[in-house]
Amino acid sequence: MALNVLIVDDSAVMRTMVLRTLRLSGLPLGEVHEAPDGQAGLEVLQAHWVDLVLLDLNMPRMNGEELLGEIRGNPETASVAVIVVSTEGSDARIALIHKLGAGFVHKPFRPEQLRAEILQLTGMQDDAHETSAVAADGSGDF
Amino acid sequence: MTAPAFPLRRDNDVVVGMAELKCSREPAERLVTYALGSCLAVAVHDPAAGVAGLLHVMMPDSVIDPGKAAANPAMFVDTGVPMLFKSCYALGAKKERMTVIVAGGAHQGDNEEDDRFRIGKRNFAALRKLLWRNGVMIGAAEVGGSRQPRTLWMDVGSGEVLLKVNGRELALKPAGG
Amino acid sequence: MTLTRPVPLQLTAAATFEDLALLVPLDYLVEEQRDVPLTHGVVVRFFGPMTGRLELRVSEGVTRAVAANMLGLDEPSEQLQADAFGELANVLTGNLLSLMTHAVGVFHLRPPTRIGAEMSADIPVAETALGLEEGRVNVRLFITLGG
Repeated sequence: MALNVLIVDDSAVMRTMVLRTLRLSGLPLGEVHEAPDGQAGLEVLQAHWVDLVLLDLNMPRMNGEELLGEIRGNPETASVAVIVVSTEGSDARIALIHKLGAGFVHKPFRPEQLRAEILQLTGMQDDAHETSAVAADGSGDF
Repeated sequence: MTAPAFPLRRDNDVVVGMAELKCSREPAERLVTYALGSCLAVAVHDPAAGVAGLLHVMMPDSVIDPGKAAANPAMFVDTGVPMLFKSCYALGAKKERMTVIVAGGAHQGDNEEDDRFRIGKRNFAALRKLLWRNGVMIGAAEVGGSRQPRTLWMDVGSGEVLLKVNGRELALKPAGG
Repeated sequence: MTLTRPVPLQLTAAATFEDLALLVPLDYLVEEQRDVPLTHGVVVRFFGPMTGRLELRVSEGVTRAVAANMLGLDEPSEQLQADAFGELANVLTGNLLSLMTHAVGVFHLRPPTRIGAEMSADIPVAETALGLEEGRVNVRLFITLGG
């Protein structure tokens, strides 16, 4: 089964880093959607089936906390796997994220930390260690 | 799985010295490197091909001495790591199957702030940069901390890695495996 | 809210460069770094238990190295460099505020905005300089309300 993924972050570079980590994690990826804020993310969720959302908190228009509330409040998306990827350090806010059934990865993250959280939350295993090693622009050294 | 027996020395140990790298596909062999301080040990393994490689690298970037890097690529992260992977490919390993385990990168002196040149940190940062660029994740890492010599063994057949730090033994396993 | 320990600006800035951009700063500037002109600036404004801003300035070449390392690319575009530099400032600000308020305060950060390289006459509550192989970094923290 391929996972359809939505990455919501106002930094295009961060979205690329998250996507690269997903590709290197050996997950079977289906459609990949990106959104620069919560509102745009919500529009993607209304139009497409998504299995996993990676979500920043501090964003313009609609922040990640608000989008998470919308996801959990809608029966169609209530059980979607969500991982918040943020600099958030407030214990109360992180506890609320967990209470809403979302995982949390602190920024800056090492790709290995994000991979571990994804594998745990999706219940998938990187058992063969087969990763889709990417040399995105052919600039690889080996 | 029972814990592997790791006697301190075995006849079929292949010792990897400072600024050296060695690869093997002899399942009975063990690659070992001693006295890791700010240096890094990079241990790679392809379980399907039964190939293991070990690099003991000293410095982050060959730009400080390209002549030395040409003579001995295993001295620098940016030249040694590509050579480690390519040497394993030559024995049949494939990048997408290879696991990477890292140890070392300690700071000099008792306090991190006293380590003016941060070689250990720079070694690990250079390694992370190179692996990220080339689409390789680190399976397990035991890096940093104050200067405490580490010894690393990698079993060629199983890929099991044992680390010894201050008399304490630690098995390192790649994440997700 | 009052600060109950010194602002760990330098440690947080160094850790952010190291963890996010894979650049290991030194907490001193060597002779040739001191006079390198700062060429790129970004500000992150924050609201919450304290209101203020963090200004990050770097010399030529640093934004390219930051973006290249974050993306694993050789030649990131100007746009990606600006984005990566803004995200670095954003992550630094978020982590710094958490440390300063013992993970209690909830802050809202505005998206990073480009600013000029020349510094205003405002007095920062904390300032730090870091040396990189690629040049130098200046970080200034301003608190205008609270603190």
